[in-house]
Amino acid sequence: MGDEEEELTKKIRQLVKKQFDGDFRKGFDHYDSIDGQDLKIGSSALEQLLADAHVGNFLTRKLWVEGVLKALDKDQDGAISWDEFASILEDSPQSKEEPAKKPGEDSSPDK
Amino acid sequence: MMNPYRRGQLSLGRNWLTLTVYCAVGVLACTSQDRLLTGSWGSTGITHPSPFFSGVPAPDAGRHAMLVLGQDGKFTWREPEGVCHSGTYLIQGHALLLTESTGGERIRLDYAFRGDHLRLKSPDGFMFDFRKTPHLADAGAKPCNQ
Repeated sequence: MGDEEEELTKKIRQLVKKQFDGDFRKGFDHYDSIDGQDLKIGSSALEQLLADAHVGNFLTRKLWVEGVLKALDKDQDGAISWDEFASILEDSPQSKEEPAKKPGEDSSPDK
Repeated sequence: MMNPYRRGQLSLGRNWLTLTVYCAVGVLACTSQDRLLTGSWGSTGITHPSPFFSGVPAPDAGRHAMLVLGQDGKFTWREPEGVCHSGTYLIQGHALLLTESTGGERIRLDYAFRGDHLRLKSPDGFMFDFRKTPHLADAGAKPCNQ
C-alpha cells in the first residue's frame, strides 16, 4: 500500500471513529445520501467525505476524488458502492462485518 | 594609541553598517520575490509522483487553472469547469500561504521558479506548473462571484 492509500485509509478511519462512533456502515449511509445516489457515494459526496477527513486541500481535493475513484470504482460507474468503500478498509475488523440493516429491514420472526 | 571608547564606536558603527546592508538585501530580495509572484499565471501541468495518482488529472478533464495574485494580497484560482477559489495570500520565504475566503481553509504551497515557469508544491505532493501570462498581469484578483 502506497503512502497516499495509507494516509487515505488512516484519515477515513479517524473520521468514522470520531463522527460515526467507528461504524463504517453508518458513515457510508451518511455520505451516500448527500448527492441522491442511492446506496452509492458519488463524486460530490466523496469530495465532502475527503474534506471532512482532512484529505488533500481545497486545491487538490477534486484530484483526490479522481484518484480514489480510479482506485476504488471497479465497475466504473463514477460512484463508490459499499463493497468498493469497504475494500479500502479491509484491514479493519468492522468492514468485514455484515452491513448494518436499515430501519424497516428487520424481519425477525418474533415481531 | 587609539582610545578604546572610539574603537568601540568604530566597531559598533561597522556592525550597524553590516546590519543595515543585510536588512536592505533582505527587503530587496523579498520585494523582488513578491514582484515576481504577483500577476496572472496559467497552469501548464499538474503532476504527482505517486502511482496512486497516475493518470490524474485525466487528460480530457481540462483542469487548467488560472491563478491571479494581486498586489493587494488577494488571489483567485479559476478552473474552466467552474471551480473557483478566492481569498488572501502571504509570501513567507519560499512559501505561498493561501487562505480561502469561504471556508477559511489555509494551505502552504512551496514555490520555485524555473526560468519563466512557476512551480507550486502542495503539502500532499501535487505539483502545479504555471507560466506567467503577461497580458493579464494587471487584471488583479477578483472574488469568485465577480
